[in-house]
Amino acid sequence: MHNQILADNKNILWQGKSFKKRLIRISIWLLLIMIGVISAMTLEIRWSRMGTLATALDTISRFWPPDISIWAEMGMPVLETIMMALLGTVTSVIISIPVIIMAARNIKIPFKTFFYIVGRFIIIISRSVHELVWALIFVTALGLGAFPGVLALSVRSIGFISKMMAESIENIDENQVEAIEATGANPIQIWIYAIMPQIIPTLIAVLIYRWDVNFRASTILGVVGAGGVGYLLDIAMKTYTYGRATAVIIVIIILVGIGELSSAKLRDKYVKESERG
Amino acid sequence: MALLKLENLSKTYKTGDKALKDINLEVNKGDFISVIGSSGAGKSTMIRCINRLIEPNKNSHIYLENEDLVSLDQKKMRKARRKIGMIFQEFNLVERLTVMENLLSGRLGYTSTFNSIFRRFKKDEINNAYELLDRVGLRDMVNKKATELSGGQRQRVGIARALMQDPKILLADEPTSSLDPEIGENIIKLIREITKERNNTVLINIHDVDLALEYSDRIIGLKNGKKIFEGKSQEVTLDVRNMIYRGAEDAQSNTS
Repeated sequence: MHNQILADNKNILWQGKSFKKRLIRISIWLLLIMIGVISAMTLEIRWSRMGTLATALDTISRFWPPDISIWAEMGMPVLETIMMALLGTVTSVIISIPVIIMAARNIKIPFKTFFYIVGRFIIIISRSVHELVWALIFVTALGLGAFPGVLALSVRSIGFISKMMAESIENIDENQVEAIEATGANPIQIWIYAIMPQIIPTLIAVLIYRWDVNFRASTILGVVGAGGVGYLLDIAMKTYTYGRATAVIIVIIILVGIGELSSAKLRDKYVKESERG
Repeated sequence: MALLKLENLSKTYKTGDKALKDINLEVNKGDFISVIGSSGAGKSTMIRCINRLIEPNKNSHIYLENEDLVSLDQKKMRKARRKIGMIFQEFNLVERLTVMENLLSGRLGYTSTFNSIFRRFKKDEINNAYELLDRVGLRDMVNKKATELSGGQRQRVGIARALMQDPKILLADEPTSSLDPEIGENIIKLIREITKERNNTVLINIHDVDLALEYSDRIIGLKNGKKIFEGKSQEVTLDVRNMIYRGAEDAQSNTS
């Protein structure tokens, strides 16, 4: 039977997990372990090819010391990385505008049902394909360089930005809209005075977050030929100049650290400020 | 000649709910009229039909200075809305804008889209906003955001915003219901005084009958979407009150 404890004279009945619930719990754990074992088996990990601890350590040791002479050539790629993240974020906001209009239920446009589905579809596609895959597609289509990187970041960001902004618009306080409408304001004025003030805090938060994500992504996009510091890393690895690779990785870590810090600072400054009202 | 004249004002919602049934009413310049009735009687619908925030039935007529508002297209309706100020139960200030910006938004109907994008308003509009803020006692709050104000202060801003339109008629939808009774009474008093100073016309929905009787020239009683009473405050006897606020059966036995 169930574990039943009568708390002293207060008639409060405490029930522990019933046998049935325990059984379910144990079964779930067993199932998870089984899935783990099965996946390991299907992956056919060949331990024989993995080398010994000694060979692994030997390879790792070749990454040391970092060949910091490469830093002299890194000015442009670093700039390119930063610009890619910035441009990718800004471009994606611009491309997101029509998607947001399609995907927010309370924005009335002709053929809304059709466009709503299109909008949601774009959001799903954008979010479900990784930026490296987007970068591969654009590098193949447009050639090497930073431009396909910018496109990859912006296409990847559209989904998140559109989803968040569409939801923000769906959640606005209609009372404020009604009041501005009652003054005789036209639709554009209603947008500027009643809707924008309500969604701008979300927009700022989304922008900072997405810029942060894009900044981290942009450091690696070069691996598939989309420019920036990642490209140097790719070349260093392919030419077995591991010391150079380490030097690039150090720069990437520093860049990501700076990005992290500055986005936290921006968030503190703008998001919290607008939350205070 | 009546400033505002409602003729057969009806509203049937898509759900089939008949919120208003053939309301006829004349409002003269300088009137202060309260509409009373229990919740669901159609008070808010009536107020919102006048500036067509809610679209009335096609066969209704709303004459404001002899212009039938029901027949106007959107652009002309926007022009007409400038003449109708509105005060709301939940104040409906734009929360993230400052007090001054909220007041100036009352002038949007008179401002070009271009100028409103850059928040450019005329000098006398800004001066007028300062004067109104002085009048409602919020001069010090001019650069505060709406979120920083108390309920009573917000409603004062709401009143000032509506008056910024320089309206022919002021509509108020339960302006006291979200406030403490004492503050609510101050707000009604303020609306009464400030509109008398300006010889403004007021049509106000109000839940609190005692407040309505104390401050209004005329009382309209709504019940189930019908106007069942119109008269001076003194004429609202206990019988009349019962008729307006009690169940349908009671009302019939009273009126028969």
